[in-house]
Amino acid sequence: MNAFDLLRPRDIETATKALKGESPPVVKAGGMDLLDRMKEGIDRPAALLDIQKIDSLRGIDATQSSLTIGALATLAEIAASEAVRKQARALAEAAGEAATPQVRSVATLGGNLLQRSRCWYYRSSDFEPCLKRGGKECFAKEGRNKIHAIFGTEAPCVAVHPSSLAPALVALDATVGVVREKTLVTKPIADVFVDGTTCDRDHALAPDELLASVSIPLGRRSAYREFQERATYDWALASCAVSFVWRDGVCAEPRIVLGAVAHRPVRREAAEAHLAGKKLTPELAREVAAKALEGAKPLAENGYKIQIARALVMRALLAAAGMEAGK
Amino acid sequence: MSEEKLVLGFEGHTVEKTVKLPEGEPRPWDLTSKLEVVGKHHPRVDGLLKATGKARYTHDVRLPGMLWGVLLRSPHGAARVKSVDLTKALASPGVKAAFSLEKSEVRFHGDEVAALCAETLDQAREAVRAIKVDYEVVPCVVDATDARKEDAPRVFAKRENILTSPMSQKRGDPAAALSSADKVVKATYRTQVQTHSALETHGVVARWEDDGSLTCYASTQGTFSVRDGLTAQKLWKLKASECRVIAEHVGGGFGAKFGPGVEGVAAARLAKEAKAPVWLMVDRKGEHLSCGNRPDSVQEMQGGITTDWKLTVLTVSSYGTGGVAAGAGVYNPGDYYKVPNVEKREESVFTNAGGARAFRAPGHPQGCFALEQMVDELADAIGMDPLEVRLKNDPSVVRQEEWKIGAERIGWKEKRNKTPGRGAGGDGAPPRPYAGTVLRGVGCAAARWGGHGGPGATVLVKVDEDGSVEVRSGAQDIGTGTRTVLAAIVAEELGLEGPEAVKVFLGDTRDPVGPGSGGSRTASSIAPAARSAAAQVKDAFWAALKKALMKVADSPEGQMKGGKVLLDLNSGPKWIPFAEAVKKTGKKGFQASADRQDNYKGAGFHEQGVAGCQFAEVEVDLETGKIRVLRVVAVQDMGTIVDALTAESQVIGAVIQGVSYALFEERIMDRRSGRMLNADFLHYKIAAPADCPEIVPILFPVAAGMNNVGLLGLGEPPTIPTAAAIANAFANATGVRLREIPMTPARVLAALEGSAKPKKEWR
Ligand SMILES: Cc1cc2nc3c(=O)[nH]c(=O)nc-3n(C[C@H](O)[C@H](O)[C@H](O)COP(=O)(O)OP(=O)(O)OC[C@H]3O[C@@H](n4cnc5c(N)ncnc54)[C@H](O)[C@@H]3O)c2cc1C
Ligand code: SF4
Repeated sequence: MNAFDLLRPRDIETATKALKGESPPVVKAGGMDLLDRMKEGIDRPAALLDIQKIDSLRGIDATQSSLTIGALATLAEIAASEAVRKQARALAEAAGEAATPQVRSVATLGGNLLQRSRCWYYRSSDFEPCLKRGGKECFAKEGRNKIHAIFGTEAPCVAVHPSSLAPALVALDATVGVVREKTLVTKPIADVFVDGTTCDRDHALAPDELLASVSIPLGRRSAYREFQERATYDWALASCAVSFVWRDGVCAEPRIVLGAVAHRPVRREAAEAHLAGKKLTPELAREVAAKALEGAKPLAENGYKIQIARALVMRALLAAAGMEAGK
Repeated sequence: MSEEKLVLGFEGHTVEKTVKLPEGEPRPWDLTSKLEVVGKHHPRVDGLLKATGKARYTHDVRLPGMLWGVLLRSPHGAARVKSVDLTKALASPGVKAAFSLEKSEVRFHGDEVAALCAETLDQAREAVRAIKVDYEVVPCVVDATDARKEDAPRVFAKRENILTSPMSQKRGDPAAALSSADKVVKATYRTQVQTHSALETHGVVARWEDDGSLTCYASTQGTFSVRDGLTAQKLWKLKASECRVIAEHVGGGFGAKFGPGVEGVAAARLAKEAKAPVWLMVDRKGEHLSCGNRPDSVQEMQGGITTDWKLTVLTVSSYGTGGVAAGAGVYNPGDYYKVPNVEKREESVFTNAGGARAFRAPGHPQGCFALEQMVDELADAIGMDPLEVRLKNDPSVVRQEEWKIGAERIGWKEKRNKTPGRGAGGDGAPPRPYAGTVLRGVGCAAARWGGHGGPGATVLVKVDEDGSVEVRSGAQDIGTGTRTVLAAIVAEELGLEGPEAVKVFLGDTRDPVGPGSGGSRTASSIAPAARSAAAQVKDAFWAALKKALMKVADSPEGQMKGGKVLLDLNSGPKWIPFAEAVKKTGKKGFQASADRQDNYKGAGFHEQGVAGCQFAEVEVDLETGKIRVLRVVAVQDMGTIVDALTAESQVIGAVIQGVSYALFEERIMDRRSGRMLNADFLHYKIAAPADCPEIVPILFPVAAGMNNVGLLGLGEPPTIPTAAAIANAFANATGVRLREIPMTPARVLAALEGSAKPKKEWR
């Protein structure tokens, strides 16, 4: 790893000011993702801006209408929060299943959403830079791609977004608060992510922007299911978060989001339309799941993801409705 | 030579046998021996040190003035090295020495190119980036199937990629047997490349002493082979007596850690050039790329069976790759069962990948995976229970008994799925959501191994004047429990309370010579020497005691127990502590060293090899393709049980590695560049605790009368049958054969899909 300067501001203003400079420092939260990249040598920033001392970025606050989580909340805190478990179950499940207890106690919400791709070509310093590192070529498309995308595969980059929390938050219709200089802007979380045509990035934040918080409107039932090869210490090969407003047993305004299958979390509108206004049954869940995977275009080695994702949609829907078999 | 009449075998199957012993050997332990320490559950004598982080591994060694070494590795699958420029690296902060390995070509991703050392590890890692290498990349081939093709790039310019192994086997008339068998099954089985992934990576800390001698701390399975590898170098002139290798604690090896390796020689050379001690441990990536692996295999098999359950013929034609090394053979299929007609052909194929090394039962897990599925498939073909077919054809009296014990323990009768693919097996309702999408099944498989050990080991046993007891061997404990085993044996022989009463020094070439830890030979080779030496010490002690006191029994037999010695004092017979008794001799202490003798001609229990078998119960999620191994029952012949706890630990560890091999581990290569994509512990997946089944180790002691202890190596055999048993259980659950490992969700789903209507290959 290269030597670097370390800045440790105590407030947002000092931090965002530092990010404005000529060659700005790179934000470091838990550092789980950033330091991995630095150790491999694919990123060699001259300066880091450690935001861990900015207390206003911490905490989980519940009001009547929303739940606001600071960017520095750890995955462990989120998974353990009573408020999150009650009001945003999908998020609690996503945070609780990610990685390992050790990682969860360090990894932050902001860092999780803004972490970079786990594509093994991108992550290896032995490879020439691929498109994501500013190079000319994608090695995965014709290479080894069992972990890659099944949606949006016509785009130049076929990496998937690795965050477990991202699909849950998209399903929960969350918004993010982003600070640039002294201005706080609020936008839908979906706008944070980019598709595979913007292949040199994994999120839309500019280098001088600081993600401050995430807000979740209340009143939705939700659930998250993911599939990992191993029981722990693994990323999802596919995940699904769903939410809906539950009106007398009927699913209204459903949102169905798949994770780890595309360059960004993807909403499946056709499946949502098929579910909207209906009473959920296992048969309907199966139909909705099939619709959710329509249009998937897998690569040579990842067709299996379709079947897994289908099962996850079904399971997440039934879980959100409290209809899991065996319960 | 003396003779001893022994009672050998196991409960329900005993034989009397007279064995001839070399002079001075104690009477071998047999079924009549009443043992106080040996055979019980003892915690590791170094357990506390390890659990508290105080045990010093090579990784932990820090010497005054020590520098940190790093290797530069090839980023290419194959390339010509046109130049290596060290100028910038040498000028980097903290760098004290650097050299190029002067290779004209690199043959695999991770091939070593240069080495340097600096004052800190970070400086060394940064400096290595400043080494400028001019490569001319040439075509490479990383897949064994591709490498066999006519137009494939040559891995070695002057050699064919295909190496036909002489290790072939033929007996009977396989062709005729295939045409006369009642049922014939043809199938192809595939296994993957697995890397050793020992928790402690390879490496050495080297220091040149003022007298010109070399001291090396090494993470190794062979202290003496590291020494010999270092003294053989042309870079310096060193006699064996001038090179000391120390391996106090070793974080695993699994067969990949013999000899100093490129890293060890580099550490010594850097230390010489920098005139300071050098620490050079390989990083995880280098470990995956260049420090050994288990070759993959493609095994085309044919088997024949008669309707009266006799296996009549087995043929296998296999190939696989050990990268730039040979040795991709699979174990001989005809050696497990009584099969009259056998034929085996095999090829080792060179590819541009790190070289294979011996790996926990080399060739066996691969061969067993194919053979034991074939036996199941043949049983299916005649509509028989595969366990019955095994019992009919298994020549091992030991395994005959083990099959029954294991079947009972797993609940074979109740759990075996009568209608594979169509319902929950055995214990009824599926445990998780979605009734009908989760299936269970059970399967079994056999293991066979050697592991009696043999000569090439000397052990020193010392009793000090204060009664403290010390054992010394230059061999190493790579985590298998060798220290505890030796302590238990010496404690038994001297009638001490337990292993903790004996201090064992291992892993230093200044101590008596011992074997490398391969072939499950360490404990089985040195244990009998330890017992002989302890017996000699005991005799000397007794003679001295007699001389000093006169009123003691003629022989120490039965007079030394639980740390006490029975003396007939003026006040009458009395048990007094061993230390006091030693004092009473008035001697400065006692010591003896003994050599390991050849194995005797025993009772022939292991003519079919050391026997083991395993039963697995699995659960398959049909929607996601996830396999969960619920339970593995492992029955393992182990000769004399010395420490039941470390023995069970060996079995459990081996099963975990077997589960990991069956479900997760796989080296993933990019074909175009020849690079390994998962040279880490994220994408190279090893079973984590939550993936491990309940493991039931059942130790099966057999008194074989082969040497004075009779302990059998246990490191390797219990990892052999796990994958095969899991595959058979999968088939029993789903009615579908998965003939390829690792059984990832992708493969499981493909197999299930491909057999929407289960098709049976023999029809
Ligand atoms: C073994 C292992 C398993 C894992 N499994 C999973 C999994 O299953 N699911 C999953 O979702 N993740 C998984 N992860 C990833 C892990 O969750 C992320 O690495 C972690 O959440 C990143 O958070 P961090 O705070 O450490 O981020 P950092 O490494 O500090 O930052 C990550 C990136 O975000 C930027 N950044 C961070 N915070 C801000 C902010 N407030 N404003 C602007 N930019 C910011 C940084 O500049 C950096 O580029 C796993 C990681 C490991 C090591
Ligand atoms: S998928 Fe994206 S990140 Fe991976 S190699 Fe292709 S361009 Fe790079």
